[in-house]
Amino acid sequence: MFAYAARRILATIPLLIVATLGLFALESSVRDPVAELRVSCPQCDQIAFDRLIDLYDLDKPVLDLSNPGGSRYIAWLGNVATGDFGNSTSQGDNPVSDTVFTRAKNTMILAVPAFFVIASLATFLGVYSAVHQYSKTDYTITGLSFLGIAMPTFFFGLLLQVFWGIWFHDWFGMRPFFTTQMHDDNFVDLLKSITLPIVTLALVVVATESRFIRASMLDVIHSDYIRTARAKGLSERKVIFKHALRNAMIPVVTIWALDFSALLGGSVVTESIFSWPGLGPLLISSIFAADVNMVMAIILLISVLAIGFNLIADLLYGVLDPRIRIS
Amino acid sequence: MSDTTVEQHQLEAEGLSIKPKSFGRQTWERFRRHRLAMISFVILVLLISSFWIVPILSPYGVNEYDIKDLSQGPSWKHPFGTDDIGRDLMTRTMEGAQVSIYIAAVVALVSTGIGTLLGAFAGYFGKWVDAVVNQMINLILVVPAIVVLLVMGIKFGGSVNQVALLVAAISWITIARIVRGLFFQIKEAEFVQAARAAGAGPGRIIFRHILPNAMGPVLVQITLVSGAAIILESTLSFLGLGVTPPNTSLGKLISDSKGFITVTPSRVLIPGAILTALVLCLNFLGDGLRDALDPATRKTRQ
Amino acid sequence: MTEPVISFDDLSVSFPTDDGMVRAVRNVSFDVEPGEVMAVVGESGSGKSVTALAAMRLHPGSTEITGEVRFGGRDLLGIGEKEMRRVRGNGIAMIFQDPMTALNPVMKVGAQIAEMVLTHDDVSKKEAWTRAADLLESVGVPEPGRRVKQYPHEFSGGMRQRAMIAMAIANGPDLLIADEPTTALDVTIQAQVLEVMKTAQEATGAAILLITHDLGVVAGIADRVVVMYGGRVFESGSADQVFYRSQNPYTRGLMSSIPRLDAPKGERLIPIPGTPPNVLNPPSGCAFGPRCAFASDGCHEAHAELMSVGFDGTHRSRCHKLAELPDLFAAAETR
Repeated sequence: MFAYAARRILATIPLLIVATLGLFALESSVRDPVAELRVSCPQCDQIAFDRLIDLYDLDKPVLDLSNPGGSRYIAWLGNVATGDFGNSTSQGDNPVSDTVFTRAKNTMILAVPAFFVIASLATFLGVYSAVHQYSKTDYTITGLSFLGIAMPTFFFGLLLQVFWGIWFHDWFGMRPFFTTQMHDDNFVDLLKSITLPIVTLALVVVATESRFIRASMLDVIHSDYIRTARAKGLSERKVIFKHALRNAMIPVVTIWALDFSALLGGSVVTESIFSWPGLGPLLISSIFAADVNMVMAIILLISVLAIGFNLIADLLYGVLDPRIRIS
Repeated sequence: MSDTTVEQHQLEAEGLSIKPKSFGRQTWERFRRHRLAMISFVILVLLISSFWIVPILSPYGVNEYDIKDLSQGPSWKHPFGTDDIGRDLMTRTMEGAQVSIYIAAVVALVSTGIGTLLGAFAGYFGKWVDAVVNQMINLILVVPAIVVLLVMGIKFGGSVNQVALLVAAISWITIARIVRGLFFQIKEAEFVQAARAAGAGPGRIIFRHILPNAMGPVLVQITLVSGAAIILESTLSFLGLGVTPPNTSLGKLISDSKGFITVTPSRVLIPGAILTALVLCLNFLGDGLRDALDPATRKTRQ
Repeated sequence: MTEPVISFDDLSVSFPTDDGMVRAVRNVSFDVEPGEVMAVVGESGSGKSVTALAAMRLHPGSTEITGEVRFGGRDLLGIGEKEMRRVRGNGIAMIFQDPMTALNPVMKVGAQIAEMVLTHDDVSKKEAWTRAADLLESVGVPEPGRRVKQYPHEFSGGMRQRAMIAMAIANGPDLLIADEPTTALDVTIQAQVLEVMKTAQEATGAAILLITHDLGVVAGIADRVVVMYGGRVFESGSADQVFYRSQNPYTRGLMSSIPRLDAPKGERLIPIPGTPPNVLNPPSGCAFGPRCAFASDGCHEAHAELMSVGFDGTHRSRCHKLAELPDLFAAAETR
């Protein structure tokens, strides 16, 4: 199992290097600080330009294979390998790792509860829908799922703001606009800030997952071994929860792992709408500001999370399904 | 297999033996029976034609502004209201919807073309061709799609065509994967072996023998990819990375209205509802097509 | 005369499909006596499996059932779900067709057998597992102590069917329903599994209701036979009566369409022409009429009643031409 994990990680490293190189090159070419300075400060002398060139390493190419040591990307990669992600150019001259760390903590405050809401709600709706196939409730759940999948997240978020901002002003004291986290000590206060963002985060994912779980559960319910379980004289509850659910949830684990890693990586849309100081808005503003170090640090974090959770999902798959042995 | 399902298969076999119908006709009949998909299809046609008809009938130009009517809610004069510089929002929304539809169509076309071609080659030839296509897919998937789009968007975004191509650059993956899987299955089928034995070359086998048999699921994917493209484009525009003025799109309209949400909520709600309706109809359509094309997934009502 | 273990009385089963109501079983009546092997024979679509599932009430919810299934002094179709659960696996146990899919892939084989014990018997978990190992041994699974801890995918097809049998006999049922128990298995394994069933029956004294389309299986094991066609019983009687003195054109057709090793060289097989009836829209009159070599106009007008042939009432057949059959058969032989 360890060997398998190691092999998997090694196989993704080249992909990660090529992908980050591409994004690094793109992001580095978004702005030309020298040209901008020339416009904004016509009276600046060569010393100012040189300082700028030195700060951004603009004299070096992004990647020069004949002189790898003189390439910006290689230099960045080398620094990353030693744990140095560089300094930010847009958030003061601070190490990006500090900012990313603070923002990641904020994102987690949304992501972890959101994940539990998503997992439990999707399982409940999916299983209920499958067990009561073609019932009115099933049609309702299916219809709402379609609606949830079709509705863009940003629109749903804005819809909630319209609801709580205008029509149901101050219902339960929900904060529809600025949920900036400034209430570490008061749980109820925190809850008022995070509820609407969590609902927004959950909608699309719950809709997609419940459809998936319903389909998976239906597959299992119609299988021969469920008929065998019924023929044993087991109660319907035991048939569903002991025999069907376990089989139906095996493929869901992969989906959960991916969704959880996506949540931990921060939501660009939801966090922006609710002004939540997580990784999402930081990524957006850094991309616009051409803050290469910041953008690359966030991308790296998101990718490593995705790769890591994918691997965990595969390993879990092997544990849950005795037919699959990972070696 | 239980007797019940055997009987059902027999039923179908019997039905065929009495009155043979072409596959296309059977599919159409099954599709028609899928009421939701039929309704969606009609709504979709009505919506899309209104996007082109309404601006022609409208007395207002897209960028024509009227300083007397700033930030108005819906009224008889301006059914969708006006924006903060007094432009008629019904005309603008329709123009924006045209752009969203145009982008969805381009994305569907380009991503289906690329996805089908790459998926077909990967599935048919296997080995290194498959490995190369797989690595291309993995390369894009190693970083979440929205992040790739954001970084690429700031560099290549802007014009309508650029945004469409950007979204297509991500969207072909789903189609490629499905086509690849289908080709893996179908290339082992006996009629393919027979074609090969008859001396048909790979090109002929891929395009004349296998591809027609894979078109059903591809057709379903086209509707789903179009829906996803509309969402992706609007999300990009919402984040400020999609189409740029003077062009507008449904996502851009909503993005522009963010700051006025408490003043004229209809500015967010109307384009958002149209956006959702479009995607919803496309998804229902895809669902109906899937059922119609693949009778095996339709189980007996229980 | 002893009370039958189970008796089907005027059983009819219909279920809705997209294309209309399917009347899969029509007015079927027969008994199974204690300790006997009763075979229900028929082609796919004859309603034989639906009959068996109705006895266990394992049919989908929208199915419509009329008639009675009497077991242990009560009508199984009339009792509550809770009481029915006590019958399933305890009074009546079932063996299914495909052992590859009939066992839960994520549960150990021992756990699945032990679950059967624990559901109906108040014993400790440990005891149930010991019983599971004993049961596996009794159906001829080697190294039962090791095998109980394995998952179904580690068993071969024949071994899985043995495990299914072990599970079925765990609570000493009065009736074992075996739905095509050997169809999915290799020919060499089929005989072994039948042997195991026979041994298990002798050990527990259970009656067996064997659902099959395979006359070879029936010949080896059955005491009595019911032949079904188009949802109706076409002939019933002792294995000898049905096999050697059949009074039904369909049964005869079935017999002469199977190859026999002891047939004289050069004897041709005679297949039954046509296909089984469309269950949605069956032919009017005798369901077998359109395929029957002896049918005349009268056969297509109404379906025949099941009538006694012989004197003791044990042999019954459904045919409009019952009286002329011996002559018709004789004429067909000489042709």
